[in-house]
Parts: sequence; structure tokens; C-alpha cells
Amino acid sequence: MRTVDASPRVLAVRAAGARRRLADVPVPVLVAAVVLAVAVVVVLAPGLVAGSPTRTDPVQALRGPSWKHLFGTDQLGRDTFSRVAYGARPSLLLGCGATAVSVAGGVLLGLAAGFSGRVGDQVLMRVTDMVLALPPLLVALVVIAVLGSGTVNVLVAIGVAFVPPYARMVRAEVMLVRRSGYVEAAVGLGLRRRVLVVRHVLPNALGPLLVLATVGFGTSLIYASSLSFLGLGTRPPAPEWGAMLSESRDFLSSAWWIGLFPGLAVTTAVVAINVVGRHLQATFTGRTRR
Amino acid sequence: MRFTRTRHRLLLLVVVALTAFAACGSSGGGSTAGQASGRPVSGGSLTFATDTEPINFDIHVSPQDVTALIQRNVFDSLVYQDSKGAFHPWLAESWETAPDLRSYTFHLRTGVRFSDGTAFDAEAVKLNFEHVVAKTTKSQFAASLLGPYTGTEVIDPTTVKVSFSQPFAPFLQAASTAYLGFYSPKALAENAGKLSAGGPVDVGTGPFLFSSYTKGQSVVLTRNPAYAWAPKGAGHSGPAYLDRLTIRFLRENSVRVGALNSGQIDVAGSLPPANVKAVEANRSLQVLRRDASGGNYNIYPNTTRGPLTDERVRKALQQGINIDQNVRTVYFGQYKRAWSPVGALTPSYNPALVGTWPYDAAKANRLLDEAGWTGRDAGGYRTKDGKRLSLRWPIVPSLVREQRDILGQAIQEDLHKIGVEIVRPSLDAGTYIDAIYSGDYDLLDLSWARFEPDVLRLAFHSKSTAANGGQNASYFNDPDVDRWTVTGEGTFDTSVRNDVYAKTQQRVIERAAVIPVYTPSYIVGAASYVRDLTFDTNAWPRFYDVWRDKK
Repeated sequence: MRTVDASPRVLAVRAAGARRRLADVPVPVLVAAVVLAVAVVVVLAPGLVAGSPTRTDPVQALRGPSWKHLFGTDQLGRDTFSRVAYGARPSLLLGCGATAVSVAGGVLLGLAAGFSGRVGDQVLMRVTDMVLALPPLLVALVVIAVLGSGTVNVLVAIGVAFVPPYARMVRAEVMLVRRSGYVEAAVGLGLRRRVLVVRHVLPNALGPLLVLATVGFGTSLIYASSLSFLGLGTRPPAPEWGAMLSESRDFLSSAWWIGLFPGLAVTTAVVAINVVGRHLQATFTGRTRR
Repeated sequence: MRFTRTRHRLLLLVVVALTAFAACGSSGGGSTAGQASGRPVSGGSLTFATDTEPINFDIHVSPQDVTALIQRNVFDSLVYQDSKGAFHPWLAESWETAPDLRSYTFHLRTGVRFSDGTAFDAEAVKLNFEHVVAKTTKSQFAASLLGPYTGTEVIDPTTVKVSFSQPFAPFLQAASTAYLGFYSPKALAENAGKLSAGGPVDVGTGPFLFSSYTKGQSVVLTRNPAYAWAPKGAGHSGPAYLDRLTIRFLRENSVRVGALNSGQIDVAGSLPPANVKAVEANRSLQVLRRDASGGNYNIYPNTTRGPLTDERVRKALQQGINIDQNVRTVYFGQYKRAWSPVGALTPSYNPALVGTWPYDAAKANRLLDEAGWTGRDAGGYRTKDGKRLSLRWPIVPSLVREQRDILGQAIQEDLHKIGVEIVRPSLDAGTYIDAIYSGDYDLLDLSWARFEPDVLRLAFHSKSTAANGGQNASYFNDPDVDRWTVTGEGTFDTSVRNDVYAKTQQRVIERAAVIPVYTPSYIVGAASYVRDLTFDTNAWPRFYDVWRDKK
């Protein structure tokens, strides 16, 4: 009966399994390494990098990569390597902070909608839909127009722009949990709403929330860089990846290193974080299936 | 209401001063494209790309440089100012100035026709100047060029007298600008509300007709075949050589340079200094330039606030910035560092100031010590009575041009070295204007060019503050400077003007009411077959004489 095992269906399943294993093994290691490297840079930037990211040295302006300046120097002779390294902090801080704002806002709004009865739910969710219909960058720009520019405001702006997806997800989770048999039974036995939220709704929402937040973190990072690119984020001369990219625009043909390295930094960080997100997703959906 | 209008006007002025190259340069120097090889040939079209797009095409309203740059081809003026600053007949064949400088009488050229067929006459002059000053026009610049205007009198169809309430020497220069060009009275009567949108409704007497405007894309001008009233001093007379002139709006520097390299455009305006060398090295391209005149790119210390009320601290800033090196680095040696608040091509420029306040960090440190800023805090900044020497220098990211933000970072770093902290909050344009009105800044940077030393009155007369529609960003108050600049405004006597303006420039440097940084330069990249491209006193390219050499 061994031949039956070799039916196309079984083979496909096996192949998929093999692919999965193959993908499973190196990626987390690789990604973990990248994330670790970024984390080390963020924490240890001042120790790792000899040069100050803001010290100018006009005589050394626009020098290509060398042993002295690994990533070359920019138009004021500042070391691009130390700027990329120091730039990790504001960039990642913006990504993390904005995601935290979105998650917090989303959870509150989602819970409110899920528990506020038909009318409240409708109102909250339709408003969320409206915000969802607007491009997030536009929402962020409106928030900045009101609050003014600067690191904290950009953080809040991006956070606000990304609240709706989280709100929808949490609300869906609330609905799901509320209607499940065990919760209805528990409510019947006098379970209080606060306990219901803390013990049942939030733990259930945690998995998907984590997945969404990880992916959202990458997106926030991109938006933060975009806003800095437009001159609305971190205040110069402090380095920030998006702002560095913006400053490099006029030198794309003459001094590629000014733009390439901050660009690579953003790309690497976002890709790494997204891969982590995918894996988390695979893990959680796997668990649900089981 | 009046307050709002003035504010509005100031906002626009500031926006212009920041975004556009305001004004004027002149001069000289090698601004002719190509070696005069051969005789000009008529025909062909030319595409010119600029980095800004007009918000408003109405020359009587808009303060934008790009509006004047484009419309110069469509509208003529009473007089023509050559690149050396001399005035020549244009739509006026001759003129007389009243001894008290309160009125000017112009004798108009005959036979001049607007492109809609109507004649240009004294009545047209009157109607146009009335349009400029009319409240409903809401002029943001042209009206200020007319200064203390009181009225225009039609003496006969070819004679017109323009009067002012006080002596007004800058009028001839003003009358030579495109902002005081002439619309056909028919267009003014029928389409007054549509002039700002551009297109064929903008009817003038110029060498080109305004054929079309596509927002975000381009303006197309076509030759006016009837043109026969070129100014004396232009390269030729009769119709323009080019059949068609297309002006494209390419904001991104790399795109404009790329389009020039690939031959999609024939001329690129505002060539970034970083690309000049590469364009020069390309044998099929050429670089043309002219320095601006009038107000340089200067930093103005607020002399009425905080640490900068102390002249020693201002002096320390002036000599504590390595301007030579910063300007050379950021602009690749393409812009000249400035020694005076006005450009070297400005009439009555004071060359004696060159080299009088060189970079001297040791002296700057000494001055700051003398001023009592002797403490040092953890950040390496100076302190006095426990307070850090920190200065506020606002920036508007959306209006930054010419890498001024990068230059600002270099200045910030230089001042850090002598223990001065510069804080640069980024503001939007509206908040920035509020800051200017309330004087809520320690430093402010501006360039305001015009081919007239009268910019010194605008920038340093004690009454010329933002609230009064002026530009005295330092809030400088010196009775001598007030007297000198008013004297200069009221006379044509070159020796008197040279004297008072030289003294003014020296005084404002000595008292550190200004830190001149660099003289902006209008740099153009063009294909090598583009001939006879010259610049007017505003350092804007002129297209009337341009022709294509297909050899």
C-alpha cells in the first residue's frame, strides 16, 4: 500500500511540509540576527561609533566609503555611518511609539464599540470606516497640521492614522468571544463585564493583535521616514533615516552613498520586522487550527 | 480688515523672499550664451524648465519671480534697464523727471499695438496703473512698486504724467519691471477676474503671446509676428527668433537636470550647484549665470531680544561662523560668500567691506567671555547666571530652497563650537509669519533681491518693521541709518547715493545688525545650440533674443 502514499495529493502535502520546514529553520535565525543587530545599534550607538553624527568637517565633504568613513561622508563632511547608526533611534522610536498609540487607541475603541450596544457600535464603526477610507498619510498630515511638526507629534499623528484597523479587529474579537457558549454561560452565572474583558476578550485578541502590531510597526516606520523626508519629523541636525534620504536627493548621481545606506537601513529594518510578523501570524493561526 | 490685508501681503512677500529668487541681479558678466558664432536664425522652438510654478499669473497681483520671468515675454514696460543698470527707451520714447522727483512725464512710442489689435496709448498707461493700485486688485507687490503713487494724468494720447506724494527716485527701476507691464485695456475691462489664471486672456504688447497654460505641466508662448517695438539695448529689433517657447514646471532638481542631460528640455533654470561641474564638463551643454543684486542671503539677529541685545554677542556670531568654508562646501564654490548685506552687483555696493570681518573663533570666544557668558553646561554650551546661551532660529521646511537647511546645520555646528546653542523649530508658513510679527525669534534668514540699494532702507530703517510692511528683521534702530537711507531714496545723485549707502552698509556690519552669508546666483544649464540667452537685472533669463544654432 506504499504506492498509495505517493499519490499526488500526499506528495503535495509532503512537499509543502518540506518547504515549510525549510523556510522555518533559517529565517527566524536570520531575522533574529538582523533585529538583534539593529537593537544593538540602537542601544549602543554612542559606544559603537567613534564620530559624532553632527560634527561637520567641510574639508572631508562627499568622500566615498573608506576605512575611516565606512559609509562615506555627506555634503558637510559628517560621517554617514554614525548618522545611520544614531538615526536608528529616532526612526525605531517613532515606529514603536506610533504603533503603541495605534494599539492603545484601537483596543479602547474596539472594546467600546463591542460593548456599547447596537447604536453605539454602529456610530463608532462607521466613523472608523470613514477614517479607514482616507489614506493614512493624509490623516497623519492633518494631525500634524493641527499639532505642529516634531518627533512626538509625528508619533501621535501616525499612531492616530493607524487606529482603525486595530479597532475593527478588537471589536470583531469582542463579538466572537461574547457570543461563544462558554462566555454566555459565564455571563449567565453573573460574570462581570470587567472580568470578561480582562480574562476572555483580551487574551483571545492578543495573538492577532501582536501579529497586526508587528506588521503595523514596519508600516509606521515607513510612514515616519516619509514624514521626516518631508521635513516634518525629527529636527535637524539630529540624524533620522527619512530626513537623510531627503537630504541625499540632489546627490543621487554624484554621491550615491549618502542615500544608499539610510535607504538600506529602512528597508532592512522593515523587511525584518515584517518577516517576524509573518512568522508570528503562522504560529498563531497554526495554534488556532490545532 | 486693513490689518489682515497687510498681513496677507507680508505673508506673500515672505513666501516669495523664501521660495523665489526675489529680484534682481544684474550685471554683468558673461551672460551671453555661446560664442557669437554666426548670424541669428529665426525659427524653432525652445523648452525651458523652471523649479517653481506661478500661483498667480497676474503681473499686477503676484509677487512671484517666476510670474515675472514668464510674463516678461508677454508684457512690455515703459523703460528698459540694461544689465549695467542704465535706463533706455521702450514703450516710452523719452521721459522727464520733475526736479522734486514727485512726478515723471513719459512720451510714448507710437504704433504700438496690443496683440488683440487695440492701440497702446496714454489712456492704457493710466488704466493699468489704476488697476495696480485698485483695492479690488489686491496687489501683493506691484502696488508697492508704485510707492507713494497719487495718480496718472493723460496729457495727450502719447504723453502721460505719473505723480507721487513725495520724492520717489526708485520709480524708473520699478517701471522697468514686468510687474508694471501693460495689459490691453480691453482685457482689463472684459477679463479682469481671469487674468490670474493665465492663458490667452493675458493680452500684452510683448514679443510672445500667451497661448496656453496646463496646470502642473507647462506654459506655451508663441511668437508675436507684429512685434516691432523692442527696447533700445536689446540684441535685435523686430519679432522674436523663436516660434514657440515652452516653460515646463519640474520641481525636483534631479528631474530637471536629468531632462537637460537627455535632451528633453533645452534650458534648465535654477541649476543646483552640485550639478554645475558635470554640466560644464558635458560638451553638448553650457552653463550661464548671473549673481543676484539687492539683499543677499543674510541672517538677521533680533537686536531687541535676549542675549542678542548685547552687540558683543552679535559680533561673536558674525565672526564665529566659518562662512567662507561653509558656503564653499555647500554650494561647491558656485555661490560667492557675502561681506555686505547687499550683493556686489547692486548699485552703491560698498567694496571696502570685503575682508573686514573674517572668521575668528578666538575673537568670538573672547567677545562672549566679555559679555559674561563664561559658564559651561553639560552640553558644552555657554551659560550666564545658570541660563544657557540658546538662540531660536525658526525654519519653514516647505519653503527651504538652495540647501539653506544644510547650510543652517553647518552654521549650527560652528556656533556649537563657540558654545552657542541654536534651536531650529520647524514652523508652517502661517506660524512663521506670526513669529515675524511678534518678533518671536533670535535669528531670521532672508534674501530679498532687487536692483536697488533702497533694499537697505527696507531692511534697516527703524520704521520698516514687519508690522509696517517692511523687512527690518533685526529691529535695528540707528538714527544715522534712518537718515542716510531716506536721503538715498529721495535723490538721483549717484555720489550722494554712493556715500549714504556705503555708510549704511558699514554701520550695519559694525553694529552686527546683520550676518551676510552668500550672494545667490541664478545658474542656468542650456544645450550648446542655445544662443544669446541673457539675463535681466533681476538675474532672470530673457528669451526675446534667443535663437537656436543648429550647426
